[in-house]
Amino acid sequence: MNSLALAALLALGAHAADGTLTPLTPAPERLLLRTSKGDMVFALYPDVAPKHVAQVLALAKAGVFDSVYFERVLPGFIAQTCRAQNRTLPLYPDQLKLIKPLPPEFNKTLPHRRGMLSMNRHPDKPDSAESSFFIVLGDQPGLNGRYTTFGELERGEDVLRAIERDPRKPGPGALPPLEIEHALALDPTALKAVRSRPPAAAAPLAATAAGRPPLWTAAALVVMCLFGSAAFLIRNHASTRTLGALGLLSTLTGAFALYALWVPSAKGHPWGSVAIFAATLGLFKLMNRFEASR
Amino acid sequence: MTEHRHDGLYFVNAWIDFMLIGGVSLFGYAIITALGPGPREAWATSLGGMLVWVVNWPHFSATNFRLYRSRPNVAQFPLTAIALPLVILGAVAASLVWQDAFAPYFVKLYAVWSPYHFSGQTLGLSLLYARRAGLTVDPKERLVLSTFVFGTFAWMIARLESGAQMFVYHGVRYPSLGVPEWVATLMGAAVWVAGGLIVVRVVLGALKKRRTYPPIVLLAPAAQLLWFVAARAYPNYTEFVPFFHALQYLLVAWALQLKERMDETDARPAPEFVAVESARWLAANIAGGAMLFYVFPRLAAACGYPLAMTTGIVLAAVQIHHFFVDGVIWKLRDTRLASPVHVRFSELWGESRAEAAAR
Repeated sequence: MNSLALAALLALGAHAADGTLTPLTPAPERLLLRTSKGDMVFALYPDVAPKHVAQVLALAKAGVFDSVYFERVLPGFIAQTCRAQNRTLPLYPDQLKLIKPLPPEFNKTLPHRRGMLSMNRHPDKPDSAESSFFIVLGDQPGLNGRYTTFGELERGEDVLRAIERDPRKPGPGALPPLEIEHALALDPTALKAVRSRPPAAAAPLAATAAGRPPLWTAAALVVMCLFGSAAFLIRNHASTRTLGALGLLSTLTGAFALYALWVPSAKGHPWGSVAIFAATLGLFKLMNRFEASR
Repeated sequence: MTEHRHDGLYFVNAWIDFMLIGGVSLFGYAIITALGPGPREAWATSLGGMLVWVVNWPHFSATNFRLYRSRPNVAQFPLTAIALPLVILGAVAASLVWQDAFAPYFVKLYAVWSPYHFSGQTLGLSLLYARRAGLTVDPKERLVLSTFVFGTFAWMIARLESGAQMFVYHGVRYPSLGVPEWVATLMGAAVWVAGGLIVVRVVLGALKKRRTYPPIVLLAPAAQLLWFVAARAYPNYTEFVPFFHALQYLLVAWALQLKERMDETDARPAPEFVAVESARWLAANIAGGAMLFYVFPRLAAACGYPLAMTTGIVLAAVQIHHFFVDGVIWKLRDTRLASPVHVRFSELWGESRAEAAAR
């Protein structure tokens, strides 16, 4: 096989199997996994595991993977999701109906190497795969022929690295496990239209804690200044009702900025939470007087 | 409560007012609790999904219709009508730009504000029917009633916010506050104390004055107790709470719209007037609701953002705007509103007072 043909096969998604190269055609739809670390896009291979691909696409379309979390992240090995039944949000009955046991579709075409998508199952029951899957984080030949691979990371290696660096083992004071916020089955056109979320450098709270207020706080301060200036400029022409309403808009903007800054750090500070809770109710009461006569 | 008079208590009649203000909530609760607690079922989401088109969404549109339908209305509330939408539009843009740092708190603001807004309507309806019944509510009674109504809201929110869980509204996830559990306990106690005081007041009033207060005066607060407290274990019921709230709203907004339209056009009371104006108003609000809740999120998604996320952000924006507009246009103390909110359906239909009384 000359180098040109080899390049062509690789472009089509060719993969080594028993020393030969088999051209693979990915499904037209890609699987997009959106996490707080960013987006990952996977190509799925129905030629290799048709039933697995069909079920995963159906589950993604029905929103079954939304709020599924990574229950096991073992650097260099796998990042494994929980069963959909254990996800954070409860499943609707029609979503539950879509989850069916899958027969094994073990293959040698897609070996367990970094970036591969593989279906989790009960170790003693080959046909027990349903909705839990894992992303392979390193070469794992020991898993070949035991678990069904059905897809491969196409975009988002930096996100996968970020997930691997943040394994989040459960325990006192630990962060909650990383979740898949949304899983979408998208054709290439739709995929292009989706503005991908860049990998998060740090959580909002971490950015604040590092002493760098987020950019939007500057925007909020500008808006507050604008309302204050407007109230000053029109003070001789406007009614007290209008001036009062401008004051309330400024208050709302400032209160919202404080809200967004404090809520992430409120947990673990019960009195802080109580203060935010009470202040929120007060804010609503205040806004009820917006543009009111008296 | 001081009693004055008792004519024209209902907008339409006892049955229709009773059903729309709280009867549907009560009967719905009875049916769903008879079915037993359990996860939200497909029939509830399907039925709820259909009702939003004809009740929930139009109720938001009705608010905008009322504010924006005439230049004098816009001129009367320029900040609410013009400046506020721009501010909220800015918040939508900020939510799309800072999806992790801004959007969750914008949506959270809406999610906490929404039941507060429900409570405002509940209190307003209670006071409105008290006024229509000729009852004067003194400040202490108002305080007790407010404590009960807003207490149910605060109780529910404190319970929801006491965990460490994440919530999802369409495509936007937002965190809980992590409020200590004793806050919910305290709010619950306040609700029961206030509820007890209301019952004592009603019973004492009945014994001293030998008459019962019209149940519809306290029907909306009773319904809210079901929505926010009693139905906690029945997600098939809570699915319909926004529908119940919207039903109440549409009754009052519809009656007011007809009355104001009649005054503006000098139309004579007639069934044809009621039918034509009602159909026109409802059609406009169904279309307006679809625009706000169906088209706007899709327009935002067309800019390249996931539809689930734009739906969450845009719906939060539309509803926050609604909370402001409602607060502005439904002030019972406003003298321009005092007369229309006493409208009776018979005045619009052309029925004589004697016929109405006989009915």
